[in-house]
Amino acid sequence: MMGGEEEKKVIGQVVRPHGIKGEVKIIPRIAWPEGFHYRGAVHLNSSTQDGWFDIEHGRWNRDGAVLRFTQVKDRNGAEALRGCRVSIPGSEMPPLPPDVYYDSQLLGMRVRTRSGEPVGVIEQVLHLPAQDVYEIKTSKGMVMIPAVEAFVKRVDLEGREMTIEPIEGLLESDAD
Amino acid sequence: MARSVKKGPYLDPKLVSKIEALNNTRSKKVIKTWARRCTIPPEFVGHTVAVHNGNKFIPVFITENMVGHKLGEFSPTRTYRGHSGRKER
Repeated sequence: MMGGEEEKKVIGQVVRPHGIKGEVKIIPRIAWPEGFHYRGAVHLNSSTQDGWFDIEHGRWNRDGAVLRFTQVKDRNGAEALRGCRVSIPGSEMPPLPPDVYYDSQLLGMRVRTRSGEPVGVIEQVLHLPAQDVYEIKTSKGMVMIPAVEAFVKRVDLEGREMTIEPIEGLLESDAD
Repeated sequence: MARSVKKGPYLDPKLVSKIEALNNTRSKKVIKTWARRCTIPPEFVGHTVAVHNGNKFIPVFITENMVGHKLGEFSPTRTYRGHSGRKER
């Protein structure tokens, strides 16, 4: 079991118990759930639970993962975990393919145009049916930019800066 | 019930004329629209349409796999924030 003070990243949430043998269903909260292959200990946190649980067995079931923990042996134990946020150490986050980022990596990132003009700061990443959309706080209000190659030209994780190439009307807030 | 094939897909005339104008000049510009019921024809691909969701305009970059769908499908009107009974903070 792990107990370090390392920064934890939320990867999912326990939605319900699964069966009567203590398994729980977890819906992933990461952008690339197919890459989730973590098989160590996870941290479960809620208003009633707070601790590390060792994964004894895990498998994919339709839209989420079904996990069994060493410490949970029956359905009553699994019921107590309902609603818990599931976290793993930040250093253990599953690797992502190129040009795919965790929301936490993008939030707070400065945005500039290719000509160097500052646009604002990413406040939120919206996961919409068409594509992800970055909500950027600018001096004139909030603007939204689709996360597509046509507009997002460069993401510098080290420098915490994103370079975009907006077209006419893209940087107008709704108030304009 | 499905729309009659004889009529063809519903296309918003104002939106189509704006996109055609952009295609003729080979320029790109975000077009704001409330025409959520407008079907996406192949001519829209590569353009960005800001579709109103009742509250604000959501920018939608049109790609090939969206052709045949309605614009409103890509601009959700509701935000699911979970049920109140089992909310964990």
